[in-house]
Amino acid sequence: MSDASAGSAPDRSQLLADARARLAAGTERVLGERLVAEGRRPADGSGWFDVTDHSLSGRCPAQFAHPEPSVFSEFTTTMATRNLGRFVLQRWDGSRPVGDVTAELLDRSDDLPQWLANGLESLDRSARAAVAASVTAWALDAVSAVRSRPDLIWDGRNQKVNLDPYAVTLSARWDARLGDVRAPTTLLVHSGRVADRAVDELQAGFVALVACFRGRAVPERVRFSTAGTGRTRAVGITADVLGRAVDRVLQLLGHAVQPDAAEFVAGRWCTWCHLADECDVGQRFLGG
Amino acid sequence: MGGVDVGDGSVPVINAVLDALDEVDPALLDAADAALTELRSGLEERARRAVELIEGHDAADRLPLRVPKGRMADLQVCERLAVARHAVTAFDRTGEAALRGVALDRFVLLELVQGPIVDPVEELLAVLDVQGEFPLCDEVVATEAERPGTFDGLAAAASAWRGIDASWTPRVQSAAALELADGAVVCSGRLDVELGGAGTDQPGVVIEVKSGAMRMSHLEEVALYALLVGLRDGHVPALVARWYPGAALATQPVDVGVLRSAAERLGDAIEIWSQLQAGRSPLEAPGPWCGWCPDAETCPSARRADESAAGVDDDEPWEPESLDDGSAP
Repeated sequence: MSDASAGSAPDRSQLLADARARLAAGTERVLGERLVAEGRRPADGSGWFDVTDHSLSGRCPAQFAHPEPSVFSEFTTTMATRNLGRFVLQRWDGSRPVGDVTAELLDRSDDLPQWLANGLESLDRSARAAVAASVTAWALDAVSAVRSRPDLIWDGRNQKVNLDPYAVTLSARWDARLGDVRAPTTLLVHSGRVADRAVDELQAGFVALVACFRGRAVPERVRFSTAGTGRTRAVGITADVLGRAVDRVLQLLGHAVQPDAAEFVAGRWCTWCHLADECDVGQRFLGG
Repeated sequence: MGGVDVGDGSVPVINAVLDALDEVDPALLDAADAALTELRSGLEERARRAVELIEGHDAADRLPLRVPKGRMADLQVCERLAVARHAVTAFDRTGEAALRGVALDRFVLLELVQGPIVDPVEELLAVLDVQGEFPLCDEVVATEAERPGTFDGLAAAASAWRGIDASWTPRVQSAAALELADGAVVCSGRLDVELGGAGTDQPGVVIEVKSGAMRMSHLEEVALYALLVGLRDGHVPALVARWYPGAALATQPVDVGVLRSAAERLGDAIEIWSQLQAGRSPLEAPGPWCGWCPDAETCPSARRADESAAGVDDDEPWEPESLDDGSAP
């Protein structure tokens, strides 16, 4: 992973400012007086639209326009692994087994965000072993993908940005960074998503914008690694890349305020879609 | 090398691993590492041809072409089975053979990470629950109610996994995936157990946990994993192995021949799957797998197999491979 500096911080500051301005103007144009927030975002997000890195690459407009009602989710390895894995890698210096660091972290969960600490607290010994196994595997896989690069800082998060005054939240996940926290040069996203040039570019622009929304500058690049591949791929952050991400967000917001006009597009995603039972297009695809 | 005694008469896995590693020829591993670049290029070429075929048939919506380990296994026995399982969006993993495999994987996890299992069913349920495998929890409860003690033997056998030092950083269900043609072709697998290797100070070892009878296809699976791990880490694992409860660890040194044959089979699977996705009719090849094929009711070959199987004594249940292809959100 060679990430030599390719653009000056002032240039990247201007890119950020331009992208924020384009998003703000576009949001006002698309939403106008609609979807204006009534107070703070509720804890369960009900009544708000979430634009995530995942929804950004979704191919069914209706799936986005008719979001799944938020429901209580039990604490599972799926929701905990990536978050805990980053905490493990923040603490791991390579001098001892990753599994030991995982075990320590799970034993001293008061260092963790409340939702993670509470979730772990509710687990018995065997369930904690399952979480530990999943976290250790994730952490070592992530390190393997970046070839143990020691200057990476694994303080990524699920970054959320509310688009005031609207009931809209942008949400993007990233895992590690190079450079200053307010103006990183590289952001790394380690997930199970498969390489796809078009999706990579869309998500890179989105992650760069959301992760640095309140920072000083966008990163020079966003790197992606697909779990298990041991490789990363980079997308340079340019005005064009940021612009396409902003345009896609605006397109999704357009679907949000005109849900009846949103097209139903079938594909493999119908398998896990919350609309599957009532969607004729999806039913036909699934053979129901 | 020193070994451990798990105290109940079973063969400790780590002892067998250490013994087998003593026999590994470092020169063969070096040669295998050196072959990885060429093998990746060969697979890239076949993947690009597969993508061209699909795009040439206006089937680009079938991309990325996913060829996980389970699909490779299906394609090797019956093309129609592979197509049928792909078409069933939520493949039902029910059945006692599959459930035993699920349970054994979790018992091994517990022995590796937590230590001795005290209450097999309760601990199995705790693991499945936190993994979000709620339907499997229901199956475990139903099976235990119907046949109490079903899982006790598997839990006892898993004690063979005790005594593995933390320096091996044991991992379960770790990912090994190969993206080809810029991600338009993906081959992925989940390693049952991975010890050592990249990011640790120990040699890499990949072990498949099998609850059923030994089969030739299992040898091909671990060879595929040697290839995927080699391409992932830049170094092949020193050893791949299969573990069957109560049996000695079946080890396989990794050399160029193992990698080449695995790459050949993977390339063949990519080619065949691309043809099927481009519209070619699948060939039918009846066998024990018809028992869990989604098309069994309508496939004429399956019916013939059913008729000819009358009187055949095959009491070993066939174990379907998981089709987890990484495409779930």
